[in-house]
Amino acid sequence: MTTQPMANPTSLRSGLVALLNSSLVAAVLVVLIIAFSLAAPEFMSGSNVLNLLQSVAVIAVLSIGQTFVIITAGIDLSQGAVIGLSGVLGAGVMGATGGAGSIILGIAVAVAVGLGVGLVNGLITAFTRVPAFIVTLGTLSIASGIALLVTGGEPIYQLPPAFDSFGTNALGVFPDIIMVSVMLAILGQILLRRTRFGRSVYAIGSNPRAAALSGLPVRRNIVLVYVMSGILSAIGGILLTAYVNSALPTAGAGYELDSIAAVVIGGGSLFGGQGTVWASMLGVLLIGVLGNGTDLLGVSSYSQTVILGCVVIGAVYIDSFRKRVAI
Amino acid sequence: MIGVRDLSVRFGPITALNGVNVEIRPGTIHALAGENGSGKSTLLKVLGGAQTPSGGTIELDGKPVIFADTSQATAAGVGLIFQELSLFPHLSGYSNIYVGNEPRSFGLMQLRRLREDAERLVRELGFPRPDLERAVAELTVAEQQIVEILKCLSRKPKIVLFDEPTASLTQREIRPVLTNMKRLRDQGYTVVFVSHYLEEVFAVADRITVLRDGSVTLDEDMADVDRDRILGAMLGRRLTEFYPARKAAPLREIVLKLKDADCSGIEPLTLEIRKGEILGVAGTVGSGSAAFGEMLGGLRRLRGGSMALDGDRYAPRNAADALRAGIAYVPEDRRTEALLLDLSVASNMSLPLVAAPASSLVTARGFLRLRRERRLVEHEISHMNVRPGNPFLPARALSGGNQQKVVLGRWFLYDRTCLVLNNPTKGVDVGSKAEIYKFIADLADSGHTIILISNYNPELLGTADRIIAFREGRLIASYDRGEVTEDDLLASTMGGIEAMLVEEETL
Amino acid sequence: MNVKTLTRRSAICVTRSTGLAIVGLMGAVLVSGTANAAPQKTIEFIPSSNATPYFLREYAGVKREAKKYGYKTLFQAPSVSTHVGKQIGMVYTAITRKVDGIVLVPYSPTALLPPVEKAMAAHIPVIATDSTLTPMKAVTFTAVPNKKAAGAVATYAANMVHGKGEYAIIDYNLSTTSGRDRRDGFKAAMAKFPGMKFAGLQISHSIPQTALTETQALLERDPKINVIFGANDRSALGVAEAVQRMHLQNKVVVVGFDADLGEINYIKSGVIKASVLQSPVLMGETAVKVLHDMFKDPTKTPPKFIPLPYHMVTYKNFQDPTSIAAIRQYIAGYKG
Repeated sequence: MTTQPMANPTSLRSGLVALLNSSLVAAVLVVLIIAFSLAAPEFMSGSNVLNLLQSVAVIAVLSIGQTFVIITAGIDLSQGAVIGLSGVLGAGVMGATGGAGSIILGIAVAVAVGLGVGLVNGLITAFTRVPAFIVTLGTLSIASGIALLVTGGEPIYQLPPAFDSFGTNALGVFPDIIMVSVMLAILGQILLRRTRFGRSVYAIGSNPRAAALSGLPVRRNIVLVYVMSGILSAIGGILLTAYVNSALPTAGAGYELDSIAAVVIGGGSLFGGQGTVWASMLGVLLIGVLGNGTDLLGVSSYSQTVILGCVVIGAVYIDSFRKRVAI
Repeated sequence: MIGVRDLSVRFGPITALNGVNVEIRPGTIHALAGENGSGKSTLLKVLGGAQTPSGGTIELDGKPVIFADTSQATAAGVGLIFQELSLFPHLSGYSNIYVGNEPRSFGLMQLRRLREDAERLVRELGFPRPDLERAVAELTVAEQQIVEILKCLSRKPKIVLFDEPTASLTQREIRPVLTNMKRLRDQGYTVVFVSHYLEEVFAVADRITVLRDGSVTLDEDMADVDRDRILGAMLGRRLTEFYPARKAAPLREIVLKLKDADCSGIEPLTLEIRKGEILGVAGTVGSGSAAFGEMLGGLRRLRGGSMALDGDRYAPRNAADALRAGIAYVPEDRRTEALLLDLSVASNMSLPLVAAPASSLVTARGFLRLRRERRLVEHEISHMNVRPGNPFLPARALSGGNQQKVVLGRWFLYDRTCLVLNNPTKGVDVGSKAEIYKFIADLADSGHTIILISNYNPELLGTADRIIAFREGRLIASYDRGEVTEDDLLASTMGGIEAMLVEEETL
Repeated sequence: MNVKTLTRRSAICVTRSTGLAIVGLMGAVLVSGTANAAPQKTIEFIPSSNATPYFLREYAGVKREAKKYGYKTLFQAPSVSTHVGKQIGMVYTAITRKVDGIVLVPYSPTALLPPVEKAMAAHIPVIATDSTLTPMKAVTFTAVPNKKAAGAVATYAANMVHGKGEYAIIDYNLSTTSGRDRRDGFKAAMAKFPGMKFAGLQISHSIPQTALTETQALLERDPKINVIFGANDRSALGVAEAVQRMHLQNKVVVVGFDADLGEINYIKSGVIKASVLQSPVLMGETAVKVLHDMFKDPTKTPPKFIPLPYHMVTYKNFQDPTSIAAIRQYIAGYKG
């Protein structure tokens, strides 16, 4: 009956085009970049771009995991605590063993921590009626408590020099840590839009009962989504530890609020069924550009938080009128 | 007497009514029928003052009138009862009836007067009296409707308009509503109602006006028309048969065998279902008909006995198991149980096929074959005649009938041996219903087995090869095609005494 | 969607977003009140948290000294002190903005090294105040000798309880060197009193409410505690509040560091027996003076460490003129 070919939003290229054309957030981002460049000429300088990308790398990785979780109508509040715990345990192992293999071992330990916390989050959320908000709030306390217990509140400074330099190295204006984030974002987007697993994430978020009746392994996939978020948080912890070249047990505290904000700014709905990794990355960039730009203009940090709040609310409000493309 | 002359209503580029002329005679029950989008509800709203005309006039007793809003219509004697009841849930029936219109004396409300007036109304009309003291939220839907009617009548209209009064009621609750409409007419009111269901129109209406695409296609006394003519006027084509005839008979081969199969909600039953058979399952809400379907679909665990599918033992632990074995269950409430409303029509349709193991839409590594998905979905949309035909619209944008066609389309994409359909035409417009019956017949003709659970007996009588009836959890009867009348089937499902009571009410 | 609708929608999008951005920027410029490319020298103060009263007083000192020489000042700090990443970013931004000098309170002695080194390489001198860097790559480090100061107040407290009992510490963090030094100095001095046992340490992150609940927990668990040290203004405030609520001011000796109006009142009422006061205003002034000397004569090398005086105010001596002068460092115009 239909003769007119319709634009397919699931293909990579037209997805980007659709995003730029219809996303107010993308437009605001572009306008902000132009505006800041005009107001502060150093905004587009190499060192500032480097600084900006470094400052958003960790939140970007968190936002990838948070995107998946939020699409399933869940939420992961434990991301920041996982950063702290995986950071100190990984750094501790790196410092204790030493030698060439210590970095790999430390990273493996950190990832294992993230996997473990994610598994707990996923199993409780999928198999009990406890809402994800409460579950991850609980693991947040437990994880940050363990981090403080293990370290006695003290930071860990002994890190292998190769690891330290990874945190600050850059290729031109692109720091190594942002390359990791970008790679993970690309993988995340492909997983979300091009695989059966990704399709099931949208289905579970939109209507878990209908998803189950269509034969999808709903519980298993919910667990997987939280495990992913945990592992990505641990990777975020590794990146942050490298950047700051020390592991603080409280590192990353509160970062989950930024990752949730980024996903929501990018168009993810807390009711589930909507959102993409690309869009969340736009949200991350918006938050980062706003912070960096206002820093450069010398706006006091008190005003910055007010401005960020207003822009976030404004962008999401106006964005709610935009007709979303259904997956 | 009320009517419209040359009435047009336009919403931007869309014309809902186009030069319509209708006359409602006083003291009659006049039905407005038509498919979704025909304009029947818009016409009713114009009569009730809830919609302003873009052209043409409303005539009351021969004189043109203008209703700027419903209160002006009420003042002129026209009362409108919406489909979504407008009661305040926490107020009592009495308060709701007189809200905004309380009898006052020196500015104080006289509660006693309120009560007396309400009691008088109920008595005069002879309605079964709901408890008007309690908060209306505690009443049944049918009782709430009576309160709504009383509220309308308290303003002393001469004409009462009902917008789809039985849309959300169960079988038992429908008959009293129809009786109430007859009572109103017998008391001298004029009643106009909009309905999807021809059975109701035939039961109570004196005259019928059929609308299609905003124009009147039939306007006659009920005595002068039959079902075929009405359907033809609604759909714009001659319908030889609303329920299509089967082209192939069910095969001899048994596909599903249940022996003392027992789950929560039903008692053990033994049954054999043949390949290519349409098995109708009758029974009121809670009778076990739905539980039976859920057991077949893997949603209720087998407590005892056994099931076999194509000779192999069949004991699914969940819906995914059932699907893998070859049985798909289509639930009754598509909005909450079957559809992913935020997702596109395409994703909705392809979901079970995407979820299936060794699926043609998924590579071995788990990647989606998007181009193939799109081809298959577009083909199926065209086959099922889903309108609008854009596969990327979100499912919530479609009407009920088209949404149901999307849900059914899944099982054309992902071929399963047996489909269990639970009330598949509920809340679906007439045109889509006819299409769905045809799809069911097609599936059965090509060797699929359909288990059709329905609360609407005429549908079962029209389509099924065999009908089994449930009552209070037990399988109590089985009839082959043509062996049972509607009344007998009703009696089976509702039990002898209850059926007699209901019949008395309609006399 | 046809081209016309697309263009129209994009046009609306862009107009709306430009409007939003312009409003936002106007607000930003209005609020910041900074002009571009001023020929005067600019000094940026980057403490580790933007809401600690001590640092706000230090900034007052920075501003006062800068005004003498006609320098402009800027204030940037993370709102949550644990966000060391943010502080690092702020130093980089200061470099990008080409300020002329930075006064820093490094949240972590090693994390802030790379940005400080970069600043020094870009000919932007960095003065570390209150907490230091390891290794000390800034131009100068100026602070109160935290270990000695903490030791002094520990000795005072121990003497008050005749050298017998248990002591607990509520520290603000263990990331900064100042946080660690105060803990180490307190414990070292207490070690000289064999009758004093260490009962435990908790972290408050400079949040009084946290200090309060932790103090309550410590006292509930171990009623033998008779000395509690709140290692900075926010911590001491919480500790004092807790002790007062539990009516233990006669049994538990509370000692602290720094002072604000709340703490001064507690000293006057005797809930806090003693507090080591630094000289925040002087700290800020000293840092700016060093920068000024460097601007005037870049060849001179300033001293690596400039110690600052401290004064112990007690519930007995808070009326003395020296105490009042010390308190005035924290509360502008304090007269007694």
